[in-house]
Amino acid sequence: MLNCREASHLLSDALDRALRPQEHSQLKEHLKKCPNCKNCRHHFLTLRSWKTAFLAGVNAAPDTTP
Amino acid sequence: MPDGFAAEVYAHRADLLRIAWLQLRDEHLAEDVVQETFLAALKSGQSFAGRSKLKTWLIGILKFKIVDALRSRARDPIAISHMEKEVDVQDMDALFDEQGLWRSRPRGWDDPAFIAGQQDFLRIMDLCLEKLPPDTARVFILRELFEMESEEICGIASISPNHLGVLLYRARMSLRRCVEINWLSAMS
Repeated sequence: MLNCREASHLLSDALDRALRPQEHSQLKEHLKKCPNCKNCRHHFLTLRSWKTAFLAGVNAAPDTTP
Repeated sequence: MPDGFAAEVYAHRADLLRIAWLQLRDEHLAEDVVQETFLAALKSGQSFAGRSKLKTWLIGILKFKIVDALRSRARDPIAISHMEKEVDVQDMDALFDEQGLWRSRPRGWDDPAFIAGQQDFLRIMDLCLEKLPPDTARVFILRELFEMESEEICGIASISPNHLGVLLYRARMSLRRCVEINWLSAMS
């Protein structure tokens, strides 16, 4: 049985490599019962959406297109 | 080449410079790679329908310029010993108790509010990326913005896949927490 610390490591790893079948099923089991780690997964995915937001946005430079 | 093309390209200067600085941590070097990126872009004279397409293309060029700069610096022994320190995750372990449960539970982030506040999100991410240890921020950007595969990043940074995993974990855990704290305070 995974604890949250171990689950958080797998949540991060899953974004960079394919999890082994056992890791995958352990993580899935843990997430079923753990809203905190589900939130953590959502946060990691939101961090991933930074790329899209960054590419779509302009920050410091003023937008001069009409 | 359309007259406005140079202006369109230069509109992204601040964002490109920011990424280059987070990667290289040297103002002059960052200026150089952004300048080289613009020269390459203007020379090609490609046109783009949308602003985000242009930015994506520019970031693609910048990536190669940065990777070259990082590669030529990879022989620096200071850079590597510095990275060893960042690989220690004891401070991340402190986020959990003896049973491995969250000490401070991750809250639910409200999606609609999040989308409405893209500009805030970008501002907060910028702030939080700067707070990360330099190599941790560097690998996060290589992975998430430049979408480089782990193997390639390991080659550039001269680290093992295991170390890379630890650095990316540290980046995500720190950013998650930093965004949460700043996001909640921005909403109140």
